[in-house]
Amino acid sequence: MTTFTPASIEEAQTWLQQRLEQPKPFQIRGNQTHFQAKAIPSSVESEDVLSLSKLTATNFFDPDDMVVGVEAGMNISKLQEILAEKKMVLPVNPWFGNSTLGGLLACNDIGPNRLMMGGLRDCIIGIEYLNGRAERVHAGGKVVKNVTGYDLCRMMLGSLGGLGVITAANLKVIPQPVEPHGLYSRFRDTSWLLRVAALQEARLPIDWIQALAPATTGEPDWILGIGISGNPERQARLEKELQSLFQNQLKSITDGKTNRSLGYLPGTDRYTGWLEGLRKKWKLLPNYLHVMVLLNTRDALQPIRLEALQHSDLHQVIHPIGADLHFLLDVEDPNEQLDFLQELKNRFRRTDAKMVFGNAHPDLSLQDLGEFGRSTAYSFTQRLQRHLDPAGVFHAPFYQLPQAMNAS
Amino acid sequence: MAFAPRIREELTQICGSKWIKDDEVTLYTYRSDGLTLYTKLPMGIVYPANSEELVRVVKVLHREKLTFLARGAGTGLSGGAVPQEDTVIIEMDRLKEIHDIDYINRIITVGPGVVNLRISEKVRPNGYHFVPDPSSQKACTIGGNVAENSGGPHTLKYGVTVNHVLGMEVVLPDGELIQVGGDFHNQPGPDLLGLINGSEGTFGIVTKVVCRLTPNPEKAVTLLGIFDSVRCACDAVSAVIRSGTVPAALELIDKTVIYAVEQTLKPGFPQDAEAVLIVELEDLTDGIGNDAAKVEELLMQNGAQKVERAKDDAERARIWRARKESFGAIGCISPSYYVQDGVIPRSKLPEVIEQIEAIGKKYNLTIANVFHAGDGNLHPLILYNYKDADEVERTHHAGEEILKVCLSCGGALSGEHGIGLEKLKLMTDLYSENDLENMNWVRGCFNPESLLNPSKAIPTPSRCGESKRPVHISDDVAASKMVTRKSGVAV
Repeated sequence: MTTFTPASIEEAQTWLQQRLEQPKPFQIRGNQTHFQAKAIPSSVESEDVLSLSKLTATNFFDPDDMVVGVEAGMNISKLQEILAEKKMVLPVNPWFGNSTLGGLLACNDIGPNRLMMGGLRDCIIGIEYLNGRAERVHAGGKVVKNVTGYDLCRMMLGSLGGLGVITAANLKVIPQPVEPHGLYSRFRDTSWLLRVAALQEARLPIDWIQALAPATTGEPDWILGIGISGNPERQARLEKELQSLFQNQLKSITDGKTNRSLGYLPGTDRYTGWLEGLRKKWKLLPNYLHVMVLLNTRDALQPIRLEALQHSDLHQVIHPIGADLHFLLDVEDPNEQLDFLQELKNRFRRTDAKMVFGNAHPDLSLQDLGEFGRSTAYSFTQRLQRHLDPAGVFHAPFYQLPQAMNAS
Repeated sequence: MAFAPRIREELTQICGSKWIKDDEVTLYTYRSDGLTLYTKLPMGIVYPANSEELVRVVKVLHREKLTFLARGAGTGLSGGAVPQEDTVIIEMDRLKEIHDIDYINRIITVGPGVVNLRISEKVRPNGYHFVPDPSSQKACTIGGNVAENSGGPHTLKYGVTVNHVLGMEVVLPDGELIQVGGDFHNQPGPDLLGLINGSEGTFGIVTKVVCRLTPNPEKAVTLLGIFDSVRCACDAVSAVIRSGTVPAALELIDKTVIYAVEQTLKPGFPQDAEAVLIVELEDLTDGIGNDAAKVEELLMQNGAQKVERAKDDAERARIWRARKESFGAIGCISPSYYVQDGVIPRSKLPEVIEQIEAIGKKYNLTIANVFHAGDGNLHPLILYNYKDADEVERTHHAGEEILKVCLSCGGALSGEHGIGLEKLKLMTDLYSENDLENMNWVRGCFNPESLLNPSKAIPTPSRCGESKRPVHISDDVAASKMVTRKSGVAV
């Protein structure tokens, strides 16, 4: 395996130009925080890697205009640090603090405040990438509202390394929330789902919501957390309404900070890698299974019966409004992982849910997700990938799934 | 122009004879969109009733290698729905069904012909609304909003159309029907939904849209800051944004527009003011008063003579009606206006507004300003007389110069109206030929033969310097006389 780590975008471009002369696929990597499953079990992984970890420059940061532009190799924790100096924040939820911005964009991570504050697609305003002809291209700009030309920024979002090499991006940021504050409560069962349904109906402007259930041999012990912010009157009103909905069971998480003693993370950590602390706290095995299920709020709140998925090694992190559900099975046996995956697929069979691997045993492949692993316009997406990568140099398993797949 | 008999026959079989039109009066009606500086008569108009008919129509047009475009209400302001010669217009007005409303998921699924405001009207009793609120929202359709990625005053806090659409059904130029997105936020893979949004109808024709619904704010406080200098009003905008408070809307209106709206809508704006700033805060009732007081203080600190707070919903509505209908009000002081849509970093507002004023003086034209100050999205209205060829020419030069000023300070050509025909030739001032060629490459995957809405949004390859000039006024006058003669309606 060879890894090329360019020190500049020009170097990356030159390398890609040479690569196109004798087309040979390669993987694009940042800090390797994200797992990349093979398309099918027999897929041959590309051996060569283009690592962008040295492209870490800040191109501009204008707090008055609430915009920032950085190179793709900057990690998200560092970026949040830079923004925090001016009391700004990028309101997206990376899974891991060491993820590079490029990786985050390519994987389009989402998390606990997706509904209230949006995700990367609501923040990206400009992009620079190397395309399948090794040309350095730009789209969007530095302004917060822009319809000049096609929105290639969003095209590259979630592109999983198949449409080009993201080298830099410009983002809209926001002022840090005023006095962020968290409330939580424990539940012995999933009765909290009913309360969350009532909360959704009440249309209260909360900042984030997350439920988690660490693995247990007995009944799962759910902890539900809700974030609020704003001036004291606003917070008092929200707290009153929330206590009423949750029958005064909510306790306070001090000043919205991460409460590690509870194992409860989305305080300040939600901006700097909300999954990272959990992974450490739960001491997950290297090849644990992590499946993210994306679905609508109605399906997340009503019929899925999370308790029926009980497994002694299963950790669950649920963002019910939005909605993304994370199942982390702390076993490394691929057959056990496949059995659990089948259970998940059965559970969500009657929904339009989609699934994404966050981690898995290397023997598992995207094919194991069946139709759940493909986007709605999947065959068109494949066509777009072939169109924009005519030499076939971008190794991106997501686009390599066979046409007909069995959802079962 | 008219349909060839064979094509007319085939289209008639699909849609019925009532829904195929190519008479002179109808063609004249469809010669332009909201930007009347660019006109061309289409070959004919087809009015499909549903997506099945639309797919069949598109397949016929594709087979015959005819160019075609979809049109909603024709309120676009960049010439995006202006036909080329021999272009068939597909009118989307009949696809206006409201399909499903799901309040738990906070979504509504609608046909592209549904008028923007109808969505909010429909869901308001249940406490929701659809955020994008372009000034034309009483007429513009959701399909057009998607095509242009429309905004509006309240996008400062909540985002534009792309932030409020979750899924779409799209007919590609060869008649293939695809679904993108769905009824929830993220899908694995690239964000095709985001890519198609704002592609100005050049990637596909949208036949169904899943829109996000947003809870109505419990309380909205509308402030009217009155300034004796536009520069101070612009400084106040920056001060508010810097303070960490993000209002739902932050709009600036200058004295020319104040005069126009006072002649027509009479919102009660002080006519001796140089500018007024509308600041709207939305949130829970509890605590919003404190935020409003903070903003009032900031406005006063930055030179406001006075800050008024709307006393009730009626007063709020009066202020917003004046803002949203201000373009129309300009009709009472000028026979025509040409609106620009450049966008700049908001901290550059004071200097750019001064440069716009200087451009007006240079070309001896009045330029009025009413714009989304919080987003840095300018709408200079260049007032001109369409019967005066020299004034039309100067208007074009002034418009171009304004956009170049926007670009020179790090801005872009359009914040919400799109590039259409109007700004094509300036695209090379913002993007390299390489960038544009790359955009064209992406378009090639959707629209390889450029049959769908050709020559819009990005310049034709190798012709990046192209410039579409408006039709000759004499041609237009002759055409309007013809329509008056045939229809009996004075045009």
